[in-house]
This record gives sequence, structure tokens and C-alpha cells, in this order.
Amino acid sequence: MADEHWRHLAGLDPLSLDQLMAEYGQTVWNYAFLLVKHRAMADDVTQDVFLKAYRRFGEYRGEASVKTWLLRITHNVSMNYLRSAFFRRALLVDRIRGGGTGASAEQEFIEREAAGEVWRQVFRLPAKYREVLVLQAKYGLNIAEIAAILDIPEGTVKSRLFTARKRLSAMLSKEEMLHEPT
Amino acid sequence: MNRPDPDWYADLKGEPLRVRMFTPELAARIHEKAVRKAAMSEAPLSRRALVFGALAGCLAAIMLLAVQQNLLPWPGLAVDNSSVEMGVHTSTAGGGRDAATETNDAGTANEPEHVETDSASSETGSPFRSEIPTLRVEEPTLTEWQTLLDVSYPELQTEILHMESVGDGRQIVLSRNITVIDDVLHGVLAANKFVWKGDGWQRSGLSAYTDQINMKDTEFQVITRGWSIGANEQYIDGFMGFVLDPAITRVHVRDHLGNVHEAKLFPEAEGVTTWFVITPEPSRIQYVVEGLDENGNVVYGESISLRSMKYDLGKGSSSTLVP
Repeated sequence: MADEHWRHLAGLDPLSLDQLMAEYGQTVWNYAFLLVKHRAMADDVTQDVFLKAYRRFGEYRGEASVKTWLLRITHNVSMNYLRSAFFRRALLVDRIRGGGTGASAEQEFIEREAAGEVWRQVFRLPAKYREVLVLQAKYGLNIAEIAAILDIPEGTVKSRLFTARKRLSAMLSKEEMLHEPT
Repeated sequence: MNRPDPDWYADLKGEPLRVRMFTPELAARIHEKAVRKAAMSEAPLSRRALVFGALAGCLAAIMLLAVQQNLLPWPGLAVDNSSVEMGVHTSTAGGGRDAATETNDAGTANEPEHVETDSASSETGSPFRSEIPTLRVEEPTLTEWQTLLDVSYPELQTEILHMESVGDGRQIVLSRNITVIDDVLHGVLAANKFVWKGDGWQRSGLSAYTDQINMKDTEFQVITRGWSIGANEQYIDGFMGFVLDPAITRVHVRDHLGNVHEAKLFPEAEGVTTWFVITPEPSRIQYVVEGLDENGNVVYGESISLRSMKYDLGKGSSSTLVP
């Protein structure tokens, strides 16, 4: 559905919410998962994002695309979840159950289901680098849009992008060097 | 960014996962909640009050259960791991401070959690059990070390701040990830050990902490975390932490024999300084952490008693502010 459609809506009714979720549900979930790397938490973030969108659609002014607006909400909700001590503990428990320095259930999921080696390595980048890289490479956002979503200066976005590219390139080229012992 | 996109950028145009995780069930759940919330907001006050009262009752019951089962969260968790090297269980321990003497941003006891995992049993069935990344470069660059750290501990997400050789083929790496939001320091500090295995570098141990500290509401001007990595009586110990008082320009640790171990300080862009020191054995009983100003005056002191954190895992240590 074109952005024009969403720009002219004063608010969402249940049917519009279903349309919004059909169009952007997977986008929001994927972005949330890229940030939190935890399936249950990504479910919860996605739920909160669409509930916020449903309740506050009137605040969407149409200056950016509805996708960018949703990504910004997703970023903010995800950060709140990650800052919560509860989820720090939940992740820790999950990690312990997953086996200490071995892989957690979530890590195993990523290793198993990541769509290719590049995405597998992206998940291994620190969050702040992973995020800018994905917003540019996958979602096609420009520096100004990324800066607006993350609420950071454009210079910081550029610097993080530079580091993210450098580190991912290094990780990908070291693939052969970093191999498991027999 | 005027640079051309790397080749691998094209791979990122697609979806990150092979499976669709936004399911019709999740969409239905969101739809139902949205409609119910909307209905609640339109309900008469008396009905809303009833619903709110019922919810509050449920919440109280859940909180009570959580307290009874010790499920409530607390900030300031310590994450210590065991390491696995070709099936050999090498325990890695980290010290913490006594819950009764440490305060956090919420004004409640801050209890770093010590976790010991038995790799030999917990990783049964894991496909990652023997997959230890190996960096086959004798003298890696910083980028290569960072890559090894990233793939060795994908969930840690810290950046290397400092490296120190502790003997032939053994490196201790300090890494961290800190953010300050509304005067609350969210930090992850980790002491990592890497060893040369003859044909490459591999992880060998980790002692890490996550912290949330209200910088304007803590009595500690120097945040101290003990770490210890090793096995079979061959431990490497030290301390690391944050300096919150800008007047403190030096930190050192005195052991019970009077030896002074000067810490290395790393100022951060966030206005916090990270500090790190290795304390050579056998000083492992009583320590005093001191913060000094630019004139060399001790302006902060903290006595730390390690209750044999390596031999009595989980009981941690105690800490007392020195007046």
C-alpha cells in the first residue's frame, strides 16, 4: 500500500491495523530481532510497536515514510526493553541454560536460520554497528534518516557505518582463518 | 558516505532469516489487544476501575510469587563463564561485592550474580561444544583481535580497550561497552583471556559484569569489580571498574602485603573513566582500592575482602568504604 494512503489517515481502525501489520509486520519483527536477538522479546517489541502505532497514529505527520516511522518506534521500544534489568536477567538465564560459553538457544537459532553467511556475521557485530549497517544496507535509508531514527548526529552515523563496514569486511575475510580445530 | 558499497551489501537486501517469524497468531494477538485496550479506554470509569483493580490484584499476586521464588530482577549482574577447551572443563570465576554493602541506582542492594556453568554437562547436545574459533595469526592486529573476540563471545558485544601479555602465549584483554542515559551508566566490562595453542589464538576464559549505576546517586566514586580467570591453581586475578569522580586521576590497589598495583585508566567519551589492573599472586586476601587526585592525595578508599573467590565460588567478596 502506498505511503500516500497512510498519510491521509487521521487514525487507525482495527481493519487498518491489520493492513499495517500485513504490510510491515515482518519488517518490524526483523528489525526488532536484529536489535534484541531474542525471539520472545522481538515478539513483545513488535506487539508494543503496533499497539503504539494504533494508539498514536495521529502523531504520524507523513514527513517520513510510514516504514521509517515504524522503524523509529521499533528502535525506541527495543532500547527500552534492552535497558530493562528484567530482560538482562532473562537473557542471562537463557544464556546459562544454553550452556555458558557455548551458544544460547537464540544463538543457535541465528546460526541455523540466518539467511547466509553475511547475515550470520551481521548478527555478531555489536548492536550499534549492526543497526546502522542494516538501516542503510537493508532498509535503504540515508544518513539523515538513520540519524533521525537513532536520535544521534549524522557524523556519528557516518563514523559507525565506517566502522561497521570495516569490521564486517574483516569478519568475512577472516572466515577461513577462524575455523574450528579438528 | 561516498565510498562504493562492498560486494556483500547486496546480500543484505534480502531478509535476515530464512523463516517468517511474524506469524498470523502474533498478528491476531496484537489485534485482540489493540481492540481490547481501545474498548477499555472507552468504558465507563466504574467499569475501568473494576478492571484496573482486578489487574492490580493479579499484579500483586504475581509480584508476591516472584518475590517468593526470587525471580525479581536486579541491576548489576555479573556474568561469569566457564571455558571449554577440547572437552576440558576450565572454570573461570569472578568476584563480586557483598550485596549488603553495595548500593545501586535504585537505592537497593546491588548483588552481582555469580554464575558457574559446568560446560561439560551443560553443553551436551550443543553443536557448538567443540567449535572454538581459532585465529591463525601469531601477531594479530587490533582488528583481528576484535574479530576473534566478536566470534568467540557473540553475545558480549564489547570493544577492546586494552591488552596485556601475562606470559608466553597468554593475553588478557579488557573490553567494554558503556552508555550513559539520563545519568545512569549502563556498562558491560569483561576481562577475556586468550591463549596461543601452537597454531592459533583461542579464547580461554571470561569474567564479565553488567552494571546499571546511577552516577548521581551512588556513594561509590570508584566502581570496583574483581575478576579471576584460570584453572588448576593457575589463576590470573585483577580488578576493573569505572571512575565516576572526575577529580580522581589515578587509581591503585594495595594488597595485604603492602604492594601497590597502579591501575591503567581509560577516559571515555561518555564522561566515565574505565580502570583496569592485574594483581599478581599471591595477594588474594585483602585489598584496598584507592582513588587519588592530581596532587597524589587519596580522596577515595574502599577495602575489599575477597573470600577466596576462586576456591569458594559463588560467595563473592565483601566491600567497605574507607572513610
